[in-house]
Amino acid sequence: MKKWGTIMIAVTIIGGMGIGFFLVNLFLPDLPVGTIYAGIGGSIAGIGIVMGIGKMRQRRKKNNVPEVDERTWMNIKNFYAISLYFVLIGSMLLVCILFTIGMKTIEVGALAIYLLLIFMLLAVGTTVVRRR
Amino acid sequence: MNVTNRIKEIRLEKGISQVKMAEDLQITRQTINAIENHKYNPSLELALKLIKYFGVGIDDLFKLEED
Repeated sequence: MKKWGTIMIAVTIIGGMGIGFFLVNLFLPDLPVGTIYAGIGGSIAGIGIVMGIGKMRQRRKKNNVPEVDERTWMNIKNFYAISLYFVLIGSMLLVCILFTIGMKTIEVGALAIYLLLIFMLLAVGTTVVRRR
Repeated sequence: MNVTNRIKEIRLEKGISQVKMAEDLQITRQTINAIENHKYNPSLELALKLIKYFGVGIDDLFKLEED
């Protein structure tokens, strides 16, 4: 069941990316094909690496102790609840600061990097909380 | 009001290691440590599992300390 779950996650990620690239290609036909293939290839390689590391860790494990339990889920839930406030208040504060220093517009690229940083911080935070 | 427990005491009496207990109850070793050190109160489900695992009464395992 666990194995099928991992495969399903991989299939849905690749499928979602495929649909995304198809739509991009539909609306922005000038996008270079190389970029699309590099994106798909990178995603597949990334999923492969994650799955490989997971398999290796499973083989190395000596006992039958689970990785997560009720306390871990509770810690993760608390972490997300707290980080939601930090992200919302932090973002509002950032917007206020940018507005007071006279910035009228925000570039989409900068917004994308900001969101990427938040996602990365949340991912690192989740890993840290999970191990506590 | 704090909830205290005698899990560590009973576990050591029965000669069960934390890893063995974690395997048997399918919980992490860190959770056992947190419960034993009174830093985490187990859910009702886990509390009932612990009672069944050690074969003791609820009063023998958990105690509500009044302020």
